[in-house]
Amino acid sequence: MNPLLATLLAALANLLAGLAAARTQGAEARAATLAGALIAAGAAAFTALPLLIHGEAVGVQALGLALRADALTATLLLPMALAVGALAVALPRQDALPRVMAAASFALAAALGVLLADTLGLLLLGELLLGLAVFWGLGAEGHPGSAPGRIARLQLAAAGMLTLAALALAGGGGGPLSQGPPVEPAVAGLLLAAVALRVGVPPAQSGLTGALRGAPGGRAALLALPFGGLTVLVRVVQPALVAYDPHRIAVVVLALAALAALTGVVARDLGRAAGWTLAALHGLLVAGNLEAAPTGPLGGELLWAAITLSEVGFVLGVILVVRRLGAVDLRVLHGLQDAAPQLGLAFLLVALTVAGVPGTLEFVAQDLLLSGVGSAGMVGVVLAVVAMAAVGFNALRLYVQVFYGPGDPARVDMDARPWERAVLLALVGLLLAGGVAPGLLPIVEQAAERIEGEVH
Amino acid sequence: MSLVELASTLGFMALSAPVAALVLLATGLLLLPEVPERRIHQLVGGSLSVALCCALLGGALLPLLDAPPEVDLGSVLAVRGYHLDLRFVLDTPALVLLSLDLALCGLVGLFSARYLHREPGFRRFYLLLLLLAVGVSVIATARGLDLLFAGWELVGLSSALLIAFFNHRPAPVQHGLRAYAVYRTTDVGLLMGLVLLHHTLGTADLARLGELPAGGASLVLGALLIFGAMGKGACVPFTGWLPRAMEGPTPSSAIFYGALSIHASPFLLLRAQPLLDLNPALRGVVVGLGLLTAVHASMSGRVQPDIKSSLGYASVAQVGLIWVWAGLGWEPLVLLHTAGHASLRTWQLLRAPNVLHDRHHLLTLLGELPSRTATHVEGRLPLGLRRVLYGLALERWFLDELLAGLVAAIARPLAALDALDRRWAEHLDRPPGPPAGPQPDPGALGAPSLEASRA
Repeated sequence: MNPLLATLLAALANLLAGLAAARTQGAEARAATLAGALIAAGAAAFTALPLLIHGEAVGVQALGLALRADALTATLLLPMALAVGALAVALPRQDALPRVMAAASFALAAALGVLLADTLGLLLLGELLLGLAVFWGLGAEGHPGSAPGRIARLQLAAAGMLTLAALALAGGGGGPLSQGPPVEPAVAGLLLAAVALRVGVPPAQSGLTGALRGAPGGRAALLALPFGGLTVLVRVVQPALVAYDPHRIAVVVLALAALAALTGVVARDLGRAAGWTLAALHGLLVAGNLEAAPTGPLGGELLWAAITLSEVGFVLGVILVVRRLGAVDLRVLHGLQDAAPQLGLAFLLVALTVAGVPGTLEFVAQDLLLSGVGSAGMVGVVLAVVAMAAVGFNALRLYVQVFYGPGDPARVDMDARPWERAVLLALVGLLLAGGVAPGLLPIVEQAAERIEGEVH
Repeated sequence: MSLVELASTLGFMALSAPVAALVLLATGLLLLPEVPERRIHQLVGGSLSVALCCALLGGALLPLLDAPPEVDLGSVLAVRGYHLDLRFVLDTPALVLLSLDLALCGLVGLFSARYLHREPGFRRFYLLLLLLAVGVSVIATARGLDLLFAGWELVGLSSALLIAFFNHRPAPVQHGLRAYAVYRTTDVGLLMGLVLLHHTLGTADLARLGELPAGGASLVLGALLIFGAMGKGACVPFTGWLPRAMEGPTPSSAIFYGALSIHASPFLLLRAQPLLDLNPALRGVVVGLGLLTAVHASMSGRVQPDIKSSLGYASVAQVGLIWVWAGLGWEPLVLLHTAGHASLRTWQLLRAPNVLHDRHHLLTLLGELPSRTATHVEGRLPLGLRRVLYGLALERWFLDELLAGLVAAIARPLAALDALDRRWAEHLDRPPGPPAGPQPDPGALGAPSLEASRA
């Protein structure tokens, strides 16, 4: 099947899944979202295989719309589909509200559309819809312990307005992105600010830390789907800024990421500590994608693919923990290990993937990213390394503070359900497979060919 | 098959046997509800024995070969200007550390089968033991600094989790985190060194360190690698974590802090010898740090009230001396001292639980115990100086307080930043209009939970 058609069908299936989920209740909403995600995962095979074999992007222009399926589409389709599928399967019953499930499906549909868009107008329209889906999902009714996440909604609204301003400034943006000149620096700057607000890059981390604080629920999990903004960064912002020494911006982002990672280490609430950690990771991947050296963007894109899986697993782990303990104060040990040994193991493995231990895709991605950042100067490297070290330490600290310590004999039957465990372990397994053979990912193969081509 | 191919094959088997056992054990533990203890230690012991035999056979072939054999498993990732290669070299230092690793891990595996019998964390211990064996194997044989860093990380992770092995008690857990914090801090140096090496030479190959010009990049790289080695080597000022690490089970204390993990640091210095050759100032730094650590650990170790802390400091003192040999470039002495000290210390630590029994046994044999005070150098110092030194040793040179103060100074503004961010979120999340009675604060600790609802 044509990769373009497969991705389009997957986007359409998720749109329908979202509509179905919004109209149903309970388990049916979950099933609809899962079905959409599975169709997208199936489409990933049709998209990745032809691109891996033939190595060329597939594009089409009709009705004034330009669409294109390339290596980025083929690489990210599967992690995105699996991330939504993981939410549909493992989110606790009281968190898997129809509106949350529908928003996840809509976000996936919009993200797939964004990946296919080859005109600025279409791309930004898709981004706006993606933001709208998450905005709508964040408005779902939460359980009493969860934060309303108003900052996240405010940030999404601000990002949307900046995107509209950029679209107006660019004059609609009708020509194919892959063949046309890069956008004006002012447009790229506006879009970069929109991306930072959208994904929660420090100092706009408050959306993440605010939504995850206390006892985060399903709607906060929507923020763990790092779909939004990054396609714009890769396809529009990076090519436009490459002539204007984007390394300086990357260094600022890295400094803020390091600060966020270090702040996560002193945060005393599990959700907020997780939020700071995710914000630091988002800062790293944005900085990597801003670098001019080819290994930087490649590392950033790989990190994006990796954290699409690891982040959703991490936030799911946090949600599963707070469902058992309530809001977690990290100043004391909670000793959940005895009551939930399998959940502990799954949480540890997911935390280690977030930390980027050797053998995982994050490890390779972070190594590449450092290589890219380092080619423009060592200041960025120092900041990136500090951020990575702090993220790694914090990931293990969260596990230890939650699962170690004197157990409470009154706690019984708190372990992860088989499907919850299976989802987390499957995510870890995929990240390990990606870490062992990252060369199989289409973006890596394409980058290797592109770099060779540039040299010759 | 030529001798080189035979040696490479043996090297491959020595490296892959523990990895295969680790994968098998991890899979078994994930999929099977119960794995008998006997099967676990048989798997660990068997795989490490096979690997040790292969390493020793490969070592026996080494004198017959013109160049050290290599195990090349290709590239994990290769784009122009960046390679992550799985290349291992089996030269003399690598074979010494590899054999030591496999032999001591195997020994500790056998010992622990009884020592940890029916302990709740039995399976976890063996998994982490294998992780350590794999990590040290990678450190020993890695041809590139990136691969060495990967092994370094695995050792650090397994070490922190084993210190916190008795996870019901808060103290071991805190000490495990403390050790991990030190590792991550000093790993910053190693990781920065890796990037610098990539960008200076276009490769992470440790064999090409000598191609760097003296001064400049080679000096910075050398300094970064020395900093990277300081954490695991428990050098001054990072010594404090090691005696606390003795909270873990005795077999893990023996293998990590008496034998393998702590000796990874002088091994890294051996690999960095070309940089020390280029920059004699770095040799001075290594020798100075080694001497300072040896004196500090020797003084502090003498006033420790328990046998494991005392042995911990004794290990640090010996590693300080090994740093001195590494700084002076005496590679054979480094390897000899490492092998001898690791073996002796493992034996001592494994015997540590029997120290009272041994003492009684000695008393029965000799009738009285030999006097200790007369043989100590400090006995000849003036009383005033002795008191000062005693106070200094008791306080461990105030290094822990110094580091704690530094960490607190960094943490204070960060905590203020976190509080500011929290207040901002709370302010925005507050519902509009006057409060109608007490509102549940989502950030408040102790929000509704499964536990609360069950209660």
